[in-house]
Amino acid sequence: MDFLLNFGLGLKTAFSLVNLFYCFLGVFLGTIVGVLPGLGPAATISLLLSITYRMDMTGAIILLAGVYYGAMYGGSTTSILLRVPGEAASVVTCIDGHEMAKRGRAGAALGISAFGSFIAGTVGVVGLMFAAPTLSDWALMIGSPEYVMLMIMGLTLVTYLSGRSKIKALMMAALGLILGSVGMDPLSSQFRFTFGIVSLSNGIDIPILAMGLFGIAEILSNVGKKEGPTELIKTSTSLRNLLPNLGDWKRSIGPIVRGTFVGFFLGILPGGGAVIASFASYAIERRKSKHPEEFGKGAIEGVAGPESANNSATAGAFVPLLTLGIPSNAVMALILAAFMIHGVTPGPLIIKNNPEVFWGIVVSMYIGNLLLIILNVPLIGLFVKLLKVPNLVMYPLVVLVCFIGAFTTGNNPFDLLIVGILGIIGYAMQKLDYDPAPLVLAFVVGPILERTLRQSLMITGGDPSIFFTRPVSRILLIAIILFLISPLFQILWRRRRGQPINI
Amino acid sequence: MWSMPGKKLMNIDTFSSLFLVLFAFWVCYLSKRLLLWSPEGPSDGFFPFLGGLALGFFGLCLFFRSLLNPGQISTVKEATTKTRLLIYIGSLIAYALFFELLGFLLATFFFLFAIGKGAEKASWKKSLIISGLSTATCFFVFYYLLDVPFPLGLLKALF
Repeated sequence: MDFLLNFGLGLKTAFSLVNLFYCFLGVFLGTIVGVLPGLGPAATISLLLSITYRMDMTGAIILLAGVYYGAMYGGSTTSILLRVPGEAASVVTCIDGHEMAKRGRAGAALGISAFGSFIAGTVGVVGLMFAAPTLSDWALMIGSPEYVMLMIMGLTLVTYLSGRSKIKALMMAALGLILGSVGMDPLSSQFRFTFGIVSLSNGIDIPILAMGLFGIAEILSNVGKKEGPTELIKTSTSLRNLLPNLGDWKRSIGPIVRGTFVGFFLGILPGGGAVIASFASYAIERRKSKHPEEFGKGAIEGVAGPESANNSATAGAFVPLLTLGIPSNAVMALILAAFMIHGVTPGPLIIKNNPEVFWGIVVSMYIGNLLLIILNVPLIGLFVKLLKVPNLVMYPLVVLVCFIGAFTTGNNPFDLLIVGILGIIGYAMQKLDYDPAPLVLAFVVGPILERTLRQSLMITGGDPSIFFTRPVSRILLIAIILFLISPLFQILWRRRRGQPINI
Repeated sequence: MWSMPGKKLMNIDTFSSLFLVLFAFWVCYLSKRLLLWSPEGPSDGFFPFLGGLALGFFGLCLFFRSLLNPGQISTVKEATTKTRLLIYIGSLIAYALFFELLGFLLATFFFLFAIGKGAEKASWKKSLIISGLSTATCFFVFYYLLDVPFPLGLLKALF
């Protein structure tokens, strides 16, 4: 009965005209962002963060969530037509999607990608709807020491699953924690690392950090690359040509179902998310297939599975954010920032204290998935045209929007210099292969981690044994230590086998 | 890579990790000048001190790894167009520095023109049109519709 009442509340919230508009705007922008290579959902959400200051919180989260899962739909378009992933989670779609396009089956690839994304996204939201309240009830039973360990575990997993150098990712996480402490300490009111600069007294604003490290850095990275010739495969984008035939459905339904479940569970894990989900799904489909030799040459399973996985992963990613307040990837960290901008820290009490927010977001995700299938199938021709927007217009405009966004956070011209410098630093980080995602995640989570850590230690008068004596905290601490020392075992194992070491 | 004849000694990771280790030491030093601990428990310098320790520790790990395996670097190697990149970087720094003095309209126009003509190698006509139209559109949307209080700078007398 409670469930029905809550769902009804969600319907009422999501179907308000304003929130419907934000949902539409979010998925539309997300699709465009997904289609355009070089501008991902993280950069776009960072641009929109400053605009959300002026919005109602529920509407803001609906908008940003729409951008996130909308980008998963749009990313497959350039992967299939150009062999250039629109965003990271569509990398694996390039392999078989583009091969299908070369054989004249671009329409079927685009179509099955859209339908698979819709099915997986919808089922993922159902999963979110049932998993989140259950996890919230459990989360209410844990205290601040367990929270500290969960947050450290989340940060550790994100760095370990970042796919790049683990040491560098840990360094970036530590740097993010340091940057998060700039400004006034909320407990002692002491200024930290401000050096007398008034603009830093409230710390570095999250939108400014995100716009610099993701938005401007991404543009500089694209600008700096020598552009090779890219050939856009011409394809008919009429509705008939986008509908998969019976044979396509027969081969795709299994991958879609498997991709949905794999994606949802990987999305829940910190460090998991859409990218890993899509790769995992591809690997599973290739192993399960009766014709694995077809993979890499246009197997439709290689499109259906990964595209489904990355969409259900976006729903799964909301579970730890909304129930524990722990973001599982950089995009979730930015959405957490949006909550904090409005003075709300998501966690187990959000479903109890702000049910209209949680259920409004859940129902809007149903609506968003429906809007996406309606937008993506008939409007795909329009989105493909966006690929022809010249860099002369696109790149400077994105940088300009970053600057305007930075200015609007505090109406302070100094922030433009900060975002510009952060953009250059972000570019340097990319060139030196330092992943900015752990930095942003730690920057957002850091103040919450510090507060709960200090609260935990104040309870015991500074005695850290609380982290060892409480069972859940102890288990999490052991898991963190094992993760941190696992590279040593890897080094020893590889040395024994004479294999190269790469950490 | 930096090397003696026949032997590689260091790589870019060596220098980046060393820089971050020195930064970490500086953070720890500044944190210690704040109060690390009080009778109630950890104080305002405690958490950044921990962050500095972690950064320093992992930085040293990377530093020694780079010395032990100088051939193994993890940098992104791809061809770059330096001139175009430098024009973008120079333009955005100049934009940030002169934004308040020149005002939104002039600063934005010159920024977009510099990028269009200098970096993207567009024609004079195309650069002027795109810069002018984009500046005007952004000004209308953000200044008039969204009430963002842009500085007007040298054109203040006109508004």
